[in-house]
Amino acid sequence: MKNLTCLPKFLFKTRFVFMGFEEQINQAIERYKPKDNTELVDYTQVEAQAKNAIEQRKQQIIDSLNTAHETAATKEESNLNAINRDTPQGNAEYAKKKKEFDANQKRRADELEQTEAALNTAATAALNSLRQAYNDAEKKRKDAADEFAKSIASEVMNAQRSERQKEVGNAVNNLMNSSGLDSSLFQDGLTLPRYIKNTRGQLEQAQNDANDKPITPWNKDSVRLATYEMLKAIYMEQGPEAAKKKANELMQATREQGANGKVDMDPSPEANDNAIDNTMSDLIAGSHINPQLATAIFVNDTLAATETEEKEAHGMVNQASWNKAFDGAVDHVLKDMQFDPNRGAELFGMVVGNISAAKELFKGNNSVLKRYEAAVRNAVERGLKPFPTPTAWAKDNAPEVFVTPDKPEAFVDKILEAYTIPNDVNHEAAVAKRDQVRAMLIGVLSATNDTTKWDSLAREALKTMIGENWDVNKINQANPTEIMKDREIYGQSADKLDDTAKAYISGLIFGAEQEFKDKKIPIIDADKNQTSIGDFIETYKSIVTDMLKTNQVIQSNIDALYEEMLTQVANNNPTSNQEKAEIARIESYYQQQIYDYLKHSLPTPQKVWEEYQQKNKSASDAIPPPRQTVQTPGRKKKRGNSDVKVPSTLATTPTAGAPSEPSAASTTAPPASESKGAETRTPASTEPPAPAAPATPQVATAPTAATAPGAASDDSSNDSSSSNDTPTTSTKEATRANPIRPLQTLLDTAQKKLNPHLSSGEGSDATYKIAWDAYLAKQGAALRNELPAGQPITLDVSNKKVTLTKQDDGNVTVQVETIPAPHTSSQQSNNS
Amino acid sequence: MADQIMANEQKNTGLTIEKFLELYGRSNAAGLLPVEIKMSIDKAIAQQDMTILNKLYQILLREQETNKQIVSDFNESRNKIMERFMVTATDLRKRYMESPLKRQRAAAVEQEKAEAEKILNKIQ
Repeated sequence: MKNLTCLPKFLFKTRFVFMGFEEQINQAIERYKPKDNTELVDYTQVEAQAKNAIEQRKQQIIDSLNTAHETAATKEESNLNAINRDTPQGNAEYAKKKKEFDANQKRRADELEQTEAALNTAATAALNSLRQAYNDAEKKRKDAADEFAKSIASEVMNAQRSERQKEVGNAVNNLMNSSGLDSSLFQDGLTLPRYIKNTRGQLEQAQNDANDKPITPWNKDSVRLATYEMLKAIYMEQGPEAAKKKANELMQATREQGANGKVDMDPSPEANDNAIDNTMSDLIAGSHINPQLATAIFVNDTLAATETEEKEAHGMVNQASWNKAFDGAVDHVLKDMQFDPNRGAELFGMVVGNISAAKELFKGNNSVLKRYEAAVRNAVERGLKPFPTPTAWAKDNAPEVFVTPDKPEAFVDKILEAYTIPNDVNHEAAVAKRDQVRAMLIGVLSATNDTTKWDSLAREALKTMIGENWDVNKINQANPTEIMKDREIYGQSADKLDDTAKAYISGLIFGAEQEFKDKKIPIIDADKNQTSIGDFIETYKSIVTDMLKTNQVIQSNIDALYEEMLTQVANNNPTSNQEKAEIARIESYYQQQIYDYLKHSLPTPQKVWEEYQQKNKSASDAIPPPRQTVQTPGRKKKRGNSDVKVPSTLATTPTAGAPSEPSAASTTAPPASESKGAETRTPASTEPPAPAAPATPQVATAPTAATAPGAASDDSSNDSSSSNDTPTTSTKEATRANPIRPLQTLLDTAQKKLNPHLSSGEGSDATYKIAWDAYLAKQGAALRNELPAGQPITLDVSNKKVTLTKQDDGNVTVQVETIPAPHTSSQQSNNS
Repeated sequence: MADQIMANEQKNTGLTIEKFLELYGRSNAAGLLPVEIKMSIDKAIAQQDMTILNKLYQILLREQETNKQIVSDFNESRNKIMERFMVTATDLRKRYMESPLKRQRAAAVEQEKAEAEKILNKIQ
């Protein structure tokens, strides 16, 4: 206790650094380990005690029975010996008694045997009941822990919310002022109402009820009020950083596209130029729009000929940015909840903001979201008091949202979230180091599904890489080779794996060593039909080593990806920095494919352990784990012997985040990278490398559709249950765009990129044409290559028909016409 | 004023960082918390934010009570199971050890009765 007298001061003085500080707290907690009887004793102890008591009692009874039997036998024998056998009568008497004695002896032996058997049966029943009772208690304890964890999380979040309540008014106002929203977003004041009007127009058309609803009578102040309420809800629910991010997103979108053609930026020419340069880079890289259009937005007098159309195009983008910035909540509220914005801007903003926050909190749990929507509707009907905020509502109605099992990727990203790359280091190298550490930690945590152990596992790994006095801000100083050096089991694959993949594999081994230290498993020698006891870690290592060194399927798949990468790189002769960067991106993409493939293919220690345990349960299962063929996710089988088998875990137990059923020649995507990478994305990151025309069918069908930049980001952002939604970014993974895509994929990608901005159908045909021309000019090299010459491809986009025709000279003409019956769907009809 | 209220509150509840850490260290629920929540709690501890710590302490107390109850229930179940075994064992002992004695006693009684009958018959 005396150590604790200085604890508060210590706690106050210690700089708050997540892991380092937690270490200190854990040390303090360590001094308070349970001393009373609030924890279940380990079952082995409970069982040992019970067995001991049972054995004692059994022995007691057997002994007393033996004693009684011996006493009786002695007495009978004594009586028998006392019989005078000198007379025939005595002899007869003796014979009779002897017979009785022998029968009694047999009866006593039987009785002893029966007693022992009955006692054993009773003991087994008692031990079974005891185990059952323990399991029940353990389950109750876990359930209780789960419930209390939800309560704690809910309490913390609500406390944070209450705390923010005190400051929210000024904070959001300041946020709007500082981000520039107040000064420039509402210059025309109509973007949000226009978006609402368009959306409602679509809904009304679908309902054949076009003229019933009035146009939302909102003005500039209404938009400001709605924005304020949206940001306020985000601020309250998710905190200042989230609100700031939303405000910046909204502001950035506005800056990029301009406010209906009006430039409202820093008036100094230098600042203006810088801003334009930055925005131009982002626009070009971010693949929203072409440089010409961007130029027109900011310097709209230089392109007078197309000014009107461009204004219109960016105006629509601008409108859509409201929906985008709030994670689709505007659409959700208007379309799914059928909320009437005529109820007022304040209420509309409040509902949108809270739905956006709810989506984040509920993490893709749609049933909870539906229930929350119903509660919001109900509150709105009742006059808003009290308005159910997601955190407060979930506390009573869906506490499960506060504690959900994490995936290793999500857990690691949370740790790395606190890490900011220092300014004084080489950024690329630092990003690579962070990615390597991330992969390493994911591998380490894969050792167990028990999330309570992840914290200590991660800390152990970080301690090994950084040193005793580590903290998360020292990731840049991490030395992954500390973990990798004794765990280099990559075999022939070594030169084909990058540091990230190697780190992941080393992490798997390191995690196994931490989690399964001294664990033994039966090793079965099928040839000799013998079983021996072996070290689990060694077995696990040998399984992974075997897969990497000798498994031909894995080898051939890695080789194929690697060779494909070399082919792609060889097809590009870099002459400029941009081309060199493109090659780096191609390499990065393929290395990511290999890493994802390994993550999917290599069994985690936990899975191998479980499989051995399961096999061990059945005595008849004295055979090695079942073996199945490994298939490459998202690739067609190429070389290699399909009969080569590996343990079933390899094929059936992808690591977290990988698809569960990879198909050999699947057209589905390979595992998506687990981080989205928006945060540190480099300017050209989402732009796919323009590939040479596919030389072989093998190349043409390689890494597939959905990993195309647009598709990948769209899919991952929609899959909110995935760990991909974690905020920390892996730039390396984010920049790995798919360089080779078949026509359909390329068309899909183009539509995905353009549709969010064009799907309202309100823009003119010229607007659509400009957007498509822009896309094809800047980013559509692959699409242009893939389009069949002379064969028009027609796409239905909203109420437009877009026809792409490739001319003999390689140029693609775009024709757009409005079709009479509008489509809300953006499904394309490829009539080629 | 707010500090005074908080001080009074602490005085009333008697919560200290040490007490909180004691329960927090024992808590099974704490191990299940998402990282961001753990970080928030660490921050609250560092800042000695007794308002939130007090609320969490109440939850931790309930968890402790629940755990005590679970352990107590289990111990009771265990005792009952063991007791049941002991009873069964005793029954078995009786069945296989005391029953022969009873049989012997019963046989002796029967024999006495038979002899008594014989005597009675002779008398009659």
